[in-house]
Amino acid sequence: MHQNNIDSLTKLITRTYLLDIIKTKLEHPNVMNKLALLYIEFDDLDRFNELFGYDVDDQLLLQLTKKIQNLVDAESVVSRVGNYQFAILIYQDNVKDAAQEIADGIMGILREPFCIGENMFYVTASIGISVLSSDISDAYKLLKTAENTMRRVQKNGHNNIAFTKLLTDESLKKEIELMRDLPSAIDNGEIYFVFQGQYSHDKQCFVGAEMLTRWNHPKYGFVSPFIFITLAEKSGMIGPLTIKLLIEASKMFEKLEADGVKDFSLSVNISPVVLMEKSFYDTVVFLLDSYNLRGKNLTFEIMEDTVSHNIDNFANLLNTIKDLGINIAIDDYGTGHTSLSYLINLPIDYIKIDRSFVTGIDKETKKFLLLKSIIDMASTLDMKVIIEGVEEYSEDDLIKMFKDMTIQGYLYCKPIEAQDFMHKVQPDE
Amino acid sequence: MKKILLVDDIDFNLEFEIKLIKNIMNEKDFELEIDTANDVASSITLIGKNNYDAMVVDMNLPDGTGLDIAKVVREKNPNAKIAALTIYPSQYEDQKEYFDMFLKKPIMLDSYKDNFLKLLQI
Repeated sequence: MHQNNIDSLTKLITRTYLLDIIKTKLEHPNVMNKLALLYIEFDDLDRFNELFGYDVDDQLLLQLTKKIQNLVDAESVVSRVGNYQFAILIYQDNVKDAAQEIADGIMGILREPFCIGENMFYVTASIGISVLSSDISDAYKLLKTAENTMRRVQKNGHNNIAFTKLLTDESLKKEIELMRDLPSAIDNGEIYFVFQGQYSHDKQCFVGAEMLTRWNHPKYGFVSPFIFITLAEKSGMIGPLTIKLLIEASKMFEKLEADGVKDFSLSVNISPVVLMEKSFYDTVVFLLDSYNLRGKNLTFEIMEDTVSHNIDNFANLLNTIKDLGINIAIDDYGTGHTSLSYLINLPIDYIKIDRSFVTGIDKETKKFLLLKSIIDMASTLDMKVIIEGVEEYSEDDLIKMFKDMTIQGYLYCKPIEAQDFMHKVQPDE
Repeated sequence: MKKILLVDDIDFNLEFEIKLIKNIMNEKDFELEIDTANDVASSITLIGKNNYDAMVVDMNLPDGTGLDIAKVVREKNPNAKIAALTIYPSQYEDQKEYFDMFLKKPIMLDSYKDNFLKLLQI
C-alpha cells in the first residue's frame, strides 16, 4: 500500500484510500442497503490541542483509534478522514442496525474518561450515518452525505447520532410530489375553499365567514393546509392561490347577494410572503375592480408575527390596503410575540383571539380573567374581537357576558362547502 | 382592431384572462376583439371562420392538446402569434417551433401582462 494512503500517526487509511475502497465495494453485486458509512467528529479536540499540546492530542487520538478498532469487526474499515474526523465503512446485511450498534458503541466508549499522563479527559462525538441506496449511490456521495449529517448533529447541539435523510425518506418524497402537483391543483380545482361561519351573539346570526383552503390530493387524500401553504410559499404558488381565493370570495358574494344577504363579511388569510410582494397592492386593486369585490365586506387576516417582524413598513402597507376599504384582522392573537400596545399604531379592525385563550375558561378562573383582560384592552383600542375555537356551551355562556362578540368555532359552524354554508345565512331584513 | 382567441377548458381561467386582458387594454388604451373556446374542436371551427392575430392556448384540453390547434393555425395563417399556456413548459421543448411563446400557469399577473403585450407586438 502506498504511504500516502496511510495516516502516519494512527496508521489508519486516509480519506482518498477510503473512497477507493468504497468504489471497489460498489462493484460487488447486491450491495444496495448493505453498505454504510459512519462519519465521526470528536467535539472540541482542537481545544485539547491548544490547552495541552500536540503530544496529549496525539495520545488521545491513538487511544480513540485503538478503542474504535476493537469495536468493529475485521470486515469493517476504519479511516482517519480529517484531523479529528474518523469514518467507518461497514459492509454486511442489516447494515442500518449494525451502523447504529457501532455508533452506540462509540458513544459508550466515550462515557469513560481517557487517561493521559496525570490527566483525565472526557470526549464527546457527533456521528452522521449514510446507507448506500438508490439516492446515495456513489462513493463520494456516501462520504459527503454522512459528513453533512454529522454537521447537522453538531448544529443541533453535538454529542449525538443521526442517519442521513434523503429522497428515500417517504415524507420528503411526498413533499416533492406535492410541490410538483400544486400548480395543477390550483388550476383544476383540487384545491378548493370552505367557509367557517362567524356568529354574532348580539345579532344572533352569522355576520361573516372565514374562507379556509383545502386540498384533496388524488394520492395522499386531504393534505394539511399547514403543509401545502408552506409549500406554496416556498414554490411561488402562494400568489396564484391567493388570487384564486379572492376570486372565489367574489363568487360567494354574488351568491349571497342573489339570496338577499348584503351585509356580510368574508375573511381571507394573507400570507406574509404575499403581503410583502411588490405587486400585491396592484393585484388587489385589479381584483376589486374586475370582480366587483367590495373592500368593506372583505377582511384580510394577517398572522400576528408577520406584524412584529416587519413593523417599519407595515403601517404604510396596511394603510394603503385600508384605503381600499378592506378590513384588517390580526389572526391567532396571543400565539405570537406581539403586545396589543405594539399594535396601537396599526390600522387594525379586528383581533381574533386564539383558541388557547378560550379552551377551559369555564373551568379555570384565571384563564377567564386573562381572556377578559384581552377583550377589555381591545375595546379600549377600538378593535373588534372575534373569538376562535369555541367548542363548549359552557365556554360560550361565559363569552355571552361580553358585548359585541363574534364567535368562530365548531359550536356554531364547522368549515363547510359554499352550498352548505348558504343554508346557514339569513337574508337582510 | 386586432382579434384574438383564448382557449381553456376551465371557464374560471377564461374569465380571469379576459378580465386581465381588458385591464391591459384600459391601461394601454387599445381595443381587441376577444373570442373564446373550451376545446380543440370548437377552436378549430373558430379558426376556420376567423383570421386571428394572436391566440393564447391552454395545452391540456379535453379532446387534445394546444399543439393540435397550433398545427392547424400554422397551415392556415402562418403570421398568427400563438402562446401556449401550460404548467410545465419544459414538456413541450420539442414543439417549440409551433409556438411564439410559452406562458406559465397558474397565471401570474405581471408576467402575463408583459408577455401578452409582446405577443401582440404592442
